[in-house]
Amino acid sequence: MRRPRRARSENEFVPLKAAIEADFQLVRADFTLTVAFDLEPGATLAVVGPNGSGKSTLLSALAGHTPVTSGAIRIGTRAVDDPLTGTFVRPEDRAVAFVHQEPLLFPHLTVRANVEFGLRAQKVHSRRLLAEAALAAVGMLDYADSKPAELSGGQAQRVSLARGLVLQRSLLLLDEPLSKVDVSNRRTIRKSLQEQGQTQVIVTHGPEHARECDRVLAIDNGVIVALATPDALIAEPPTAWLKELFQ
Amino acid sequence: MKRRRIGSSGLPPAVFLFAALGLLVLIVPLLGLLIQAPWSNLWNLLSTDQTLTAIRVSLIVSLAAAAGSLIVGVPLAFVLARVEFPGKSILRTLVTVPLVLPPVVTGVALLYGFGNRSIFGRFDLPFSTTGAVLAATMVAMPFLILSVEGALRSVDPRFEQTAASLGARPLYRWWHVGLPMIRPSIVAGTVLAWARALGEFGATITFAGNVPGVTRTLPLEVSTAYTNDPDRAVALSLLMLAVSLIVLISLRDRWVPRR
Repeated sequence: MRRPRRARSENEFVPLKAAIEADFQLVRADFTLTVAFDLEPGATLAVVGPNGSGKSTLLSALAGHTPVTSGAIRIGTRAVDDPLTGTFVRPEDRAVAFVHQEPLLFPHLTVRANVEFGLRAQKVHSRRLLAEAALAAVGMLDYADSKPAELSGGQAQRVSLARGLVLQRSLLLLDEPLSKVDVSNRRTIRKSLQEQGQTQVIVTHGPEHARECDRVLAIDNGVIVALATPDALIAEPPTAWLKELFQ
Repeated sequence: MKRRRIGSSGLPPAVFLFAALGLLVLIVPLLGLLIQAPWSNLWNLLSTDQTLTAIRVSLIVSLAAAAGSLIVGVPLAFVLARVEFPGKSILRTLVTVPLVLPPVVTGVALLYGFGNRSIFGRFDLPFSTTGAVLAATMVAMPFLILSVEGALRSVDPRFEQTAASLGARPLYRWWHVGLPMIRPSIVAGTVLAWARALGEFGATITFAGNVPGVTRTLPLEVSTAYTNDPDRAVALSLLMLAVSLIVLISLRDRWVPRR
């Protein structure tokens, strides 16, 4: 296995809005994901596709949880994964926020401590205020002292989102971040996500969220079937399930 | 739900007969101990110098063995649960061997591995308190490892991935996520290892001997006292039975599924 390179993030400039250049192949025993796309700083990309198409694997590769087999990923100004040069920046050094579909809140910590976790790990001083602001943004400030076990699925998902957003990373990777959130809260949170202004890659099954993104990446069975603006995809859907999605 | 009566359980009578025999085997010795115990003289028997010395040695040895198991057993369990390497299944088997090995054999093995003729000879481990701790650690640690490893297998690895994505470095996320998430199993495993160390007899007497105040722990004291002072042996046995019951009751929810 490649030896991971320890990135020195303090010496490398990572802009607030990171561009992505991804062109890689990820080979697993039963599955191969091949993608190539660029995303300009501050743009939002919706990733759509049937179950098992490779959406979550794509996010996992961008986040650094799954190394690519060949090709390369650049985030911001630096290569984060490039087997050819032996570059691999570990997840904690990538300056991305990754929010899983399952909330994965640390069960032994309160809601507040969960949101403060990343700030505390990086010794940020004003973490209490930042965490409270992030919780307020998803409407969960009243639950700051609850334990994750006391929350509903949708509430836990909102806290999980706050835990990722509070870090103000230059790239947000969101895996169906609102799948369990009720409709009224969904709209508010989508709005506050847009106001964040970071580069965002969002796996979603919801057509309304995909429609609000700058571009839509449709993948099926590990390959890209479409990469276009939502309007273009709605006008001329290249596959039957894309047509169904936007109906 | 209504409690089921014997008659309505649907089990054949023979099952009850054998179940009763099984209960007999398990309960009669304990009842015998309780009935024959010198209750009126119990306090005097337990407060003799010899007894207090054995209690002191036992506490030192068992607590040191539990602490030792904790410090090296938890990292070993993490490696066994999380790292893939050739020969891992063999290593896992070796780690659990002391669970089924006769403790006397463990003691003989300790003599050859850590004895005065081994490469550890200059530490002079046999017949020392450190030797007794080593013997107790060897028989106790597998309990902790099994408990912790089992818990680790049931924890979603994505919790630690999430911690990494939030910017936590390996040591930070091990300390703040990996360990706390399995805290109940670590506690249960340590208590179990401590209880096993407290009761250790065969490996201790073989490797560390039966030196009063040095390696003569409570079980060794019971065995020694029995030949010339059976009342004291029974009193000590009661003490150890009480400790075992306390351990079992405190761990009950973990080992006996709750109804």
